[in-house]
Amino acid sequence: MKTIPVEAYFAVSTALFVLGLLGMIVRRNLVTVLMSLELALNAVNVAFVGADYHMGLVEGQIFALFIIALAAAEAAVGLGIIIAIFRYRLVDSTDEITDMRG
Amino acid sequence: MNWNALIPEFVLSGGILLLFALELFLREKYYRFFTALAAVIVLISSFSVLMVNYPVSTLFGGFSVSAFNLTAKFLLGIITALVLLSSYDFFEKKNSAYGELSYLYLITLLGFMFMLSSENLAIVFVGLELASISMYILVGLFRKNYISKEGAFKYLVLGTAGTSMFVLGTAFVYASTGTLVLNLQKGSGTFFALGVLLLMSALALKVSAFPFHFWTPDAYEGAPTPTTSFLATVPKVAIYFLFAKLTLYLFSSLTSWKFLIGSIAIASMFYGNFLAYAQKSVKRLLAYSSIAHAGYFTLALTLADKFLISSLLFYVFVYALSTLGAFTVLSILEKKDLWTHNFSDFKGIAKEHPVLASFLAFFLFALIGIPPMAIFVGKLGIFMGLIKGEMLILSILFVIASVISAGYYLKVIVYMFFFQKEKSFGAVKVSTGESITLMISSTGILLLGIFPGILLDYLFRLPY
Repeated sequence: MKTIPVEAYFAVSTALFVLGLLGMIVRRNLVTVLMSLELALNAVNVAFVGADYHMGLVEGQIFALFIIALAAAEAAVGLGIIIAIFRYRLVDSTDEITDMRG
Repeated sequence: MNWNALIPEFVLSGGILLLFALELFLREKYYRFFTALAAVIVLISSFSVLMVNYPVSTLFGGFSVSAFNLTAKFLLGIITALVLLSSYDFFEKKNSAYGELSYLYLITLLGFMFMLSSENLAIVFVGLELASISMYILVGLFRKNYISKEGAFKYLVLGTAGTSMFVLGTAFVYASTGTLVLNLQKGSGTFFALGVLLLMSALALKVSAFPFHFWTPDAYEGAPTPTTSFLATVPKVAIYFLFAKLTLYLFSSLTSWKFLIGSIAIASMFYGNFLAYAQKSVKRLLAYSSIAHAGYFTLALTLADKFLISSLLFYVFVYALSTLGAFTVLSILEKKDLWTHNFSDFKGIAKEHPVLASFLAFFLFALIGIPPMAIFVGKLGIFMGLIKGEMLILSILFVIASVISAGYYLKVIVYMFFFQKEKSFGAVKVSTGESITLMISSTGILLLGIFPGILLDYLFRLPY
């Protein structure tokens, strides 16, 4: 049986991470920006679990659990801020929250 | 299990739970009491580092105390207490006295304390996140103020991007070294280099160095001013302690490290200093000054040199004191109705408030690096360290950038002292807490400037 090389896991993980960051830059909807960030954070889990499988360790999997929990916490705070913005302005696009510039 | 090592964290966590419970029952009517209590808890916690026996490692090697991180905890505690003291009157006047404010500052501090004490990258990450998430909330906690929510969202988005870079970097380092525990190891290979690059970018983002600085002006401007003074001081001190530790343990074994961090440093020094001239608001100007300072600080990380790192830590602490003072003066002025921090508002306020204007001028002179103030000693230390390490070009650029920076600080002083008043705002009272903060930070800067040995000799003797 052929084993998957650790570089493959990291390639997938980095690709997902870059997609997440691109989404953060390109997307205009506030909630979609938040989802892209979640993608970038959770992409790293693939790398951790893949590295663990390759090396026969468990520390990376524990780290992946930490990431899942903290990503959820961040999403909660982010959604709270989006709701606050929506209550003041009734907007949900990044083009419209540009009061501060420079 | 050795619980003695965790005393400062236990005191702080107990205090947070106490404040949390009290806030449920007493509500916002007792906001001033909560803040005073929070300041007392922070002070007890930071003085309880004296009871810790060091060096020791506990919690299965996940948590260790040394003279290095105990010093960091002590300094962070002092600054947080000063921020808390200067905050209450502002929030009461602005009708934004959330009870949560008192303990969110403490939770941030707790996160940084855990981050600094850990030798394990997983716990460093958890501590950093605990602090960051609380700071996103703190930026947004300003009642009936839209700008603060916008600043909070921008800070959250870019802060989370930084966090994800931090975890990806950790994954690469983990795959190349096979462990999450930090010790003096020589890594090599593409994975290690990528990991170091990502970790460095993440930390550069958290300290607002140049290519990752976008959140800084907006978060600083949007946040209520006492929170801005917190954002500009406590995370900076904490993350430079971490940055110094990671540079010694991990980063400096990368061959191109000098080039990487040196280019970030040069770019942020010049970018921050030039853009600061274009600002119309003094609060934003100070944000750009903090980007420029991020450049000066990262200069000191080019070499894993004890002299440079001790002067860096000294410099960061005195920089935190003077920024704290400057933002405290701004928050006192902001208690006036319709105050906007624009330059036109600052015209001629020296006539109306000679003492406040002199304090602001004092802190700005300190930020330029005029000799009797302590920042001069910090700048001199970094300059001498760079010369000693034969980084001649970097040290010359450092001096040029410092000279350029003098202009915009002086601009504020000129507006305050030599212009005629245009608009008239109501009177403003300085509360006890604010005057304590101003007194302590200005005496601290002068004292450490005249007798830098008090702190600097101690930092030189620290084992790393």
